Amino acid sequence: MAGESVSKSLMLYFGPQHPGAPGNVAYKLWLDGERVIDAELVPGFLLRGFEMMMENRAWEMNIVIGYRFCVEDPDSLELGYAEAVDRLLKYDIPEKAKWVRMIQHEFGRIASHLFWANHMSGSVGLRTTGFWSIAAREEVLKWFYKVVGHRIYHSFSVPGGIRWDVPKDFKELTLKTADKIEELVKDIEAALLKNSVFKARTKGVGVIKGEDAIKLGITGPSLRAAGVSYDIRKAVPYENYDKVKFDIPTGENGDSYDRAVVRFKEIHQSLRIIRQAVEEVKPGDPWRIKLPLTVPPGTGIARVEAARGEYMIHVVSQGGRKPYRVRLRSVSLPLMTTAIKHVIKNEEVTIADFPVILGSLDPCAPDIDR
Amino acid sequence: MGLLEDFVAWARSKSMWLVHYCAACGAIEFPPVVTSVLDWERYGYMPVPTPRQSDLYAGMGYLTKKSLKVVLRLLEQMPNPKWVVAGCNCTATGGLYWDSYATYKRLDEFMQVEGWVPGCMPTSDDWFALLTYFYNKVKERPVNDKGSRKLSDAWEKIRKWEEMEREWAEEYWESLKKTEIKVNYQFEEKFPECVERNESLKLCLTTVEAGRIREALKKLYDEGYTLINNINTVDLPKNGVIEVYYIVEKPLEGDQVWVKTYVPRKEAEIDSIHDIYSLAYYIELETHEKMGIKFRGHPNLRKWILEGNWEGPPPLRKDVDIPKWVIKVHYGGYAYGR
Repeated sequence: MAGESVSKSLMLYFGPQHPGAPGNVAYKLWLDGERVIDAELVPGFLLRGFEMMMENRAWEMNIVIGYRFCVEDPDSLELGYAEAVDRLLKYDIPEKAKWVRMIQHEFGRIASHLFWANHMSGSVGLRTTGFWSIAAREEVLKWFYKVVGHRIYHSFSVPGGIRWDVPKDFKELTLKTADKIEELVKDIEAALLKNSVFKARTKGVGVIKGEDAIKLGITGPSLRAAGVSYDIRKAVPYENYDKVKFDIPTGENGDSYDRAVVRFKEIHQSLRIIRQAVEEVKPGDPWRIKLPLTVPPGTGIARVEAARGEYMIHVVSQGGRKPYRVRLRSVSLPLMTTAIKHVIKNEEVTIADFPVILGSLDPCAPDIDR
Repeated sequence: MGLLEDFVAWARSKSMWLVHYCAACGAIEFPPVVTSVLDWERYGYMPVPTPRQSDLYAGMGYLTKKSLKVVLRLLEQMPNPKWVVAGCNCTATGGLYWDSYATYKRLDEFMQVEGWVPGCMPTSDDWFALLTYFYNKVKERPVNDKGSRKLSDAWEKIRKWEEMEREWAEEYWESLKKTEIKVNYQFEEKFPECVERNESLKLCLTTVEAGRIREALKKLYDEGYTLINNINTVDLPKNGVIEVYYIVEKPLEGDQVWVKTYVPRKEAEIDSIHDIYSLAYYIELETHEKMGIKFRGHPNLRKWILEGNWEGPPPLRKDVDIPKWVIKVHYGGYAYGR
């Protein structure tokens, strides 16, 4: 905060119209020369008021709106809303739907991590790997376009199952896409993680240790990079995550470099999950239960491990056609507030380091504002 | 047109620089346009960080009130000739967010727009189609054309709407003071026992009186629930209370405790817990502005996300009818006029 110690320093606006800002969001930075002394988040540029809008729409209309909280990772939210309503209705959805939802969830995670790789490469000045990761992400989007019919927003995981049956060549298509992505990601990994500029800018920079990370409220890859192997998919399994084999990649130092490494390892784990799940998708199996028009009173809760951390969706019904209240956890809020403040307090962060550290935490600006 | 004019038009169309401001969700389809997938540099397009060197602004999706003010200022800084194109349904009609309190509904209420691309969201191919169309269109324009202009009453409109919101907020708090609200809510403190357990989600719901919330959370923190997940609120006007849930979590095991309490609607006040959980500082700010709950002991309780976006009463309260307000103010009272 702008206390007495920073009263002599220079206050600088960083963002929202700044290429280094992670989306449409601003910071007030207090500078002493090159060094950042304090940073204060200025949110609200992406506010739409979802929680209020969802109270004014019918349950099935909210499928379309529920996942727009975070543009970069909509599939996790889609799954979260579908799961919360399933629990509220006490539905046990068909096995096939569970497997397909998992595949969609994991492809969404890959797309989100690759999008992050673009932003991260840009902030250290390596545009080549950024271009490559967008090209690799295009493969995921092509898969979505063929299976779901849209590139970014999908509305595919709906309460009761999946919206429609998968195409006949689903298995071949998925395996082919997975192979292609693996090939491309290996290149990006080698070019980015072994690059000496990237190492110099990220190793030992932005350190958040495990114990601190928990107290700051951080979840997801940024927590795992600090050595805490906490993943909702393992701790509180949803869908069929207890039936597939995968590891939780963790880092040691909790610096920006570890966070990058963990994200790339996660892409490989996601591909591993996809390859196991696609074997279980049998043609001809049932894939959806129909929603009733009205929903009984009660609450539904879903906890989902998204690309950035734990999303928790809480829906409250008092009967009728519309939800009474919808509440969502913001995963990026700790990353953009407490985490960055912690780093600035403990390290000498220069203004050039600021976008790199922020980029390595991978916040999603719209999910703070909602 | 003479030879010189032809040359100027050609040169102009070949060097369209876009101001790098990704204001909304439509921007996520821009990286494929910019990078090697579609490669717009073939046509001379390029993103630039400063508005003073740019020729083009692309409206990518919904216009929150705070962002629109930034866009208007950018447009004022851009040199002539400047052009505005708009994508996504939200810039044209308000789109999916038609009843949102935080967005303006049409971009052309504030500035002249040269080209539109519909869709939610438009794919990168759609964007590319717009840009190539625009590229050809600019060539045909006269040399002294100044392009898109900001409408003269843009700021005036914004000021008028904000004034109306402020009036509504005053009215709301006045009427809340005058009306008597009876608290009729059954509640029994059970902490530290669980009222409800959900084994599959590892949840435990417990209840505690609002006065003892700090004590309860301090105890949970010492027991290892060091990660704060969220603070949830449910407004119940029939019972005259707002339910408040504090959700804390034990990492590695994944156990969650939901501490439920309530505050009366009329004097919604509760102790702040920002010194126990540092993240609560920000969640409390959000809850304060959107639900109208006052957190005692919070060092800097203020408008945060809503600042510059909404001057009206707390939008999540059940007696604040936002869709009605939006229809009245932005759609001239006609629900389907958009």
